[in-house]
Amino acid sequence: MSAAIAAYTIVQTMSFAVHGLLMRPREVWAEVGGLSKAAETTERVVSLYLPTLTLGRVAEEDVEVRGCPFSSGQAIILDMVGANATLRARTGDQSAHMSFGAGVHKCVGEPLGRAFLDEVLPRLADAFPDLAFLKDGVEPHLTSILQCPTTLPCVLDATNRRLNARMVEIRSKADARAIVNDDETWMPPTMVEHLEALQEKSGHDLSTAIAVARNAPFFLSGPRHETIRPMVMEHLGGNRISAWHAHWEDAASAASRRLEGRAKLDLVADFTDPLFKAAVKSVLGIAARDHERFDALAPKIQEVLHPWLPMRDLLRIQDVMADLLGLMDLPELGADTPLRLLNAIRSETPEGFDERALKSLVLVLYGASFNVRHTLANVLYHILLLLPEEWRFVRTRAEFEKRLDGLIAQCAATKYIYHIARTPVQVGNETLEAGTTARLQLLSINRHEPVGHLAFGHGLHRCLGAAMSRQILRTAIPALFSRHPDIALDPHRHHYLKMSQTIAFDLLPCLLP
Amino acid sequence: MTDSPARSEVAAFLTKRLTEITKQDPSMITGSSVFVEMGVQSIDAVLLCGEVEDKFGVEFDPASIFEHDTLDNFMGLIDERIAAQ
Repeated sequence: MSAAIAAYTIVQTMSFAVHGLLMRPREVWAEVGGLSKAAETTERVVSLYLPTLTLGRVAEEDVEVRGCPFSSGQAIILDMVGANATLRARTGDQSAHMSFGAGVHKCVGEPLGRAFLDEVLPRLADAFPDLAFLKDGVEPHLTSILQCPTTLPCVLDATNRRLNARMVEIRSKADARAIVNDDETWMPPTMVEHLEALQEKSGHDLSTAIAVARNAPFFLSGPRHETIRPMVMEHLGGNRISAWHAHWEDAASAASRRLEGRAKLDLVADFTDPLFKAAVKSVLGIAARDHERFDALAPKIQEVLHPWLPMRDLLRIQDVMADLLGLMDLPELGADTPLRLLNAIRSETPEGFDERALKSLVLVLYGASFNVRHTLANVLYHILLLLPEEWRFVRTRAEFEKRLDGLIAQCAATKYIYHIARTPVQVGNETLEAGTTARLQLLSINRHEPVGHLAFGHGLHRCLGAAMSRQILRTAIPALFSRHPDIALDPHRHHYLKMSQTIAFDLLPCLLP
Repeated sequence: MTDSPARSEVAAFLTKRLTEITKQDPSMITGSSVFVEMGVQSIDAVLLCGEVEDKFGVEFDPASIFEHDTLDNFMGLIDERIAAQ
């Protein structure tokens, strides 16, 4: 029985270690490969990724441990994760640990555990160097004494894969970059035409969805896109957006300040969500006659329109869009500073756009900007998984900014970017017919070096909110960690939303000492 | 709770609709017919899924039509969904 428990603990350690290692950059996974340094890797893994949270012991006699007295028969709980962290800090040895215990009750499975990890982990890393973890598919298991994942869904390699006769998943970074740079061969999904045809054939009234799609930059190419893009970039582009810096500093500072005095908090409900609303709505100029209702409905438009959306989902999203457009007010035109996007584009309304079109455009941008909230939470989780000594960089703005693009690449909320082949085209070994959808799978694509990541897309269809997103992350993250340097994850109590197109936390519980 | 539809009933409905969508002679549509070769587009897939859901209460995503290649393979998925009801 003891051997069976020990063997099971080995598997839990292995799965917890793979989870931890795959949450880190690809280089960390590469370093695990190679049997020659297996023993060294195992020590580090056993120190860092111990699934055992606590161990119980009973004092057999009156005893004093480092000045703390214990009476005979008194039960004590050992914080094993904390003990390893203290050992690492005290000795300066990043592999120091007491994970196998010591003395007569030292783990009997230690030799087997070491041998298993020595053999399996390097071989796994060598066999699958591009292994990428589908983070929101993890199923965590947590008890008072144990933490480990029970499922670790992964993509095994970075090779493109045909999903069906009409769609190919692109995982190769080179192929993905070639696609986003080639507007002659590739175009965004033609949602307007798709919805118009669907309306005609199905008999359903899809006029609201069509009106929204007609003003969604990521579904457009040609003259309308050429009008929208500069009109929005005039206000959200890198040069102009810095006018909002003080606003974001205030929002980040207020959101961080509100956490003071809290022992437990949920970083989503208590930080990223209120910060997102405060930081983004003003910039876009969203004013609703019933903010509470608007805020309750708005998250539902994150389910992106796409050509494979079942009719029932399309009709549901369309209803939400209609409600939100009805709730949006057009504020009085005035000399607000900085100028809010909706006000700015209203004052220079181009031909072919009416007020409903402008509201649709701003609503679409707001829906897309939920990714700021999600990416912010993803980055915070990523940082909090690091060892405390590893995330000192967050408190130094210059150091943090050097790492920001790497963090965005690794933690981007967007799962996929879609492009449609205008003409027959060869991608890797696949010959694709015109009309085939290329689904760019960002998890694998961005797992390579951060330079040239596609978290915001690229080229003509690069995300219009990219500069805003980057600036909000750049402001919010150091603000949180400077005010709360001891914030820590409440381990494995996080929960992801089930979203097909987005990696997003529903809950991110943390502790403040 | 409604009774689960019979497989043959769904198959007959799909064959009829595919005949209308692709404008082919009904005799040309068999279990081994390949959706792409019949000229079925993503919009047709969305419509078919919606119609099957409305008529038989069996839900599936439009992309699954092309994941199953032929009508017979796709009917396998329908069987699973009917059995799960």
